[in-house]
Amino acid sequence: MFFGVGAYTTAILMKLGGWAFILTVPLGGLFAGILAFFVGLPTLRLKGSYFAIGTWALALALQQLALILDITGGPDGMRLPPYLNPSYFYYWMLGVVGGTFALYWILLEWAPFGLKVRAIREDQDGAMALGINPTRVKVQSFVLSAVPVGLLGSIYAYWITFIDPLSAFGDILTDQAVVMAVVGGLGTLIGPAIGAVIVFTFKTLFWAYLSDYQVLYLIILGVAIALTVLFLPNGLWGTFINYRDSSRGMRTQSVSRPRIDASEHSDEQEKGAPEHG
Amino acid sequence: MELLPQVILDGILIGGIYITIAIGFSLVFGVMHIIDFAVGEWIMLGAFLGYYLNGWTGLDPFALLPVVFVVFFGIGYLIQPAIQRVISGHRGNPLLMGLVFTFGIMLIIRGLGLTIFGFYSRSIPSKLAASSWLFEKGDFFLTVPFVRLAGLAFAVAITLVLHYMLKKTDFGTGVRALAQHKESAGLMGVDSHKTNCIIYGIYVGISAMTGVLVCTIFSMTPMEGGRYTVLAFFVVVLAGMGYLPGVPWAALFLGLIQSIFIVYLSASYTLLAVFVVLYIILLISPKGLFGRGW
Repeated sequence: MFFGVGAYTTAILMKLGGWAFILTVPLGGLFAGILAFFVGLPTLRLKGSYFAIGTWALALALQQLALILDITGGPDGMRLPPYLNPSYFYYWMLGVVGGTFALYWILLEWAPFGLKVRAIREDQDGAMALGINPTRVKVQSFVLSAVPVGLLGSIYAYWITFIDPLSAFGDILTDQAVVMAVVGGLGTLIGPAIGAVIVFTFKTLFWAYLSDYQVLYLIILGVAIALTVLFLPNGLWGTFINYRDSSRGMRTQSVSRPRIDASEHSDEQEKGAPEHG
Repeated sequence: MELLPQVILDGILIGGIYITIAIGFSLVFGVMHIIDFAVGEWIMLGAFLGYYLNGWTGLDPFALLPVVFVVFFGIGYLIQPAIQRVISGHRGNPLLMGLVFTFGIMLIIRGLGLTIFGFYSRSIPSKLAASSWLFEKGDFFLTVPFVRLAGLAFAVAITLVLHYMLKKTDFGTGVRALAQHKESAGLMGVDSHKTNCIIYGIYVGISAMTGVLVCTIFSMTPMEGGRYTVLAFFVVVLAGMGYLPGVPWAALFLGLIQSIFIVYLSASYTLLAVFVVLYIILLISPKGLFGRGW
């Protein structure tokens, strides 16, 4: 959804406003952030994770909006002036991804913000008792997660030079993002990166050999999600950390990796791992 | 202004369908705290089972509803233990895990649906579809299509049966106890595993029957499941998550909004309008229209 917002921001500003590409990218991120703020404000006040369906629904609504408005070109989509220089976009992408990773690392691993986020994840009521406003932190995290997606959407629009409601707000983008995060490990920084590598390696192979059976791709994504959740609920990276720590017999630092801690307790009981720490 | 009575009637008739789309979804959330992303896909599968059964037997879709219910009750009953496994135990966030798992199921069903049924739109023919009541008195007129009326009657019947089951039977008392406090209900002798399976089966069965209705009144393609997931979600949030008595009123309210927008503005704005309405209501009252949600 935020991807689409970024993509359409760039497309509209460049085509109708005649803006330079460099100026439109930050605006794509900004609009995605603003949207995330207004969406998050009511939905994140609800307990639990079902705001996910809320944002999914909004994505459908925005797709519909992009289909009927004149400014977005409706179902025909928008064409941008081509700029054929793959390495140019490669560096842009690298910059955004690297910057995002660095920013998240600093915010989540070093700054107090990361502690607040973890406190809420572990125990929302406990965090509230310590004077943390859960809704505010959640909205901040949500905005923080939306901005890079908006930036990438902006770059994508100029790179591919064609966007339409289906490619910008389509389901397949969301589906893949969910698979990446779940397979890699939810709530970890490195997990989704591993998941992304796996998904895209697979996707390339799939399109190369099995492109006649497009629908099969959906089924495989679905099976991957279901099996991972059933048998590896911590994802590949989470399971790896879990295994490494329990084989060393170390207590995981509860501050830095709380998601693993939830299952650590049961692991120790089952395997009877000695506790040296 | 002459259109207004017709608009209100259409809203109520559409709202009837929304009741059946959302009521099982709300029940499952209330009892098990599962948000099933695949609700629209059960509706889609039910619609296609109805379509093929109708093609083979030639029976009216309304006569096929019990068959569809039994088949999908079985599927729901068998699939529930897997979901239970995902949402219980030492896993970070049960709600999120359940959501992600059903998201996976949704992708599988949609992929299978597209493979088997193709991309075409199907509709079940019904004898009722051809006829309707027509009131006319000067400028004032009102059309009541029989199929939609039957859909509303079905929704009301389902609501009443669920109400009776939950309030008047021993099984219903067990379900309500389970929804309030799982461990205590277990101590009082409620078999939580079996109850959960039955409730999930009922939910999948109701959703599939709704699919047959939707396919008779409108039409269905394998891609359309997601739309009904969104609608079910809207109704349930509007009613308050897990607050069952709010569902019929929220569904009728949503039907009215939709029908008003279709007639007075444009059909393409409906989803957007519904979303804006939901957004405003959530800002004012986060626990739904009645402030009784979870």
